Amino acid sequence: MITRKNSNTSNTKRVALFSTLVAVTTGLQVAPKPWGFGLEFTSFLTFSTGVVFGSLFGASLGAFVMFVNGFLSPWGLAGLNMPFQMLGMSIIGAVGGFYKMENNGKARFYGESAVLGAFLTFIYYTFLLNLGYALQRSLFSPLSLLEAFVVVQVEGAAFTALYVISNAVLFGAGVVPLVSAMKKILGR
Amino acid sequence: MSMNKRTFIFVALALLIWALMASLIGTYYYLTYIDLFQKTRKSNIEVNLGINYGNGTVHWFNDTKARSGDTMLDVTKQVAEVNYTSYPTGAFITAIDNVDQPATKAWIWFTWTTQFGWSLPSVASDRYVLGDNETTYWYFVDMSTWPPSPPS
Repeated sequence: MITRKNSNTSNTKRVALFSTLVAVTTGLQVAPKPWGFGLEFTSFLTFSTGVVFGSLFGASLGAFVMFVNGFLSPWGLAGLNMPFQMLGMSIIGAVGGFYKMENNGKARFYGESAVLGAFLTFIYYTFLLNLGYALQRSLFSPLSLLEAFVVVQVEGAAFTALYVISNAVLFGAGVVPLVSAMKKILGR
Repeated sequence: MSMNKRTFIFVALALLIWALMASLIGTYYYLTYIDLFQKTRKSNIEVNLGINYGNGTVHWFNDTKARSGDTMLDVTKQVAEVNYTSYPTGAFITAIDNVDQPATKAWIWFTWTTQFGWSLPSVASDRYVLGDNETTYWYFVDMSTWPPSPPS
């Protein structure tokens, strides 16, 4: 009886925490950013959610947030980019679930999180988002998809670098404390 | 001192990202440098600028004199009254010669190349440095269909 009650409490906490994460991540993603661009919190929150709740929840959160973003983004409708954004963010959430962070206090996890943040951001921007842009570019210009892909890689290099650096810092500084806090809330 | 497998993977990953990003940034700055170098070899340039007001009126400002390094927006401001809002990504043109209606239309611009004809640039007009004898075109077009038809 006591075990069952504890299990129910634990599930309630999980649902409440996950719902809060969905709301906060979606809100931060679609809110206009006073700094313009170069810093986003969605990857960081999606990855951390994956670490605590597992790949399925991380991936679902990422895909959901980018789906909503596709319609409500302050930059306008995402259009053809939306599936690439959804796929990219769900990969980040899924990778979080695969990442083993057994002992959150270890200093090495700060470094590993920073590297993972940079790596996932790089993959997200260079391969997935840029593929979406290249597809649009090739549809509306004489360039082939491959040519457009190379062009957008070079044109967007500074933009990508900005996000890679900001996410490396954000993941490095924030993932371990956030994951620890979430695990504490869940009583793990 | 041996490095364990996990540490090795993360160090390798960090080096890989650094190498790829450095290569991309290097290519970006190299191509930007080449482009600017070619466009700023002369101190003064001449450009051809067309403005299509979307109501059948088209004004051409051929052989407009400009300074080397001037942007599309700089040259447009020389020949017309321009209203715009500045964003971190560049200037958004709201009106040229007070033409800003209907609200379903927007000011976009094209560049001409002999290889591709008219094409839509990927940067804002205040971020694009014009080259000598370059031909560009402002077009007040309906944004309900995308991409807009290029100038005929």
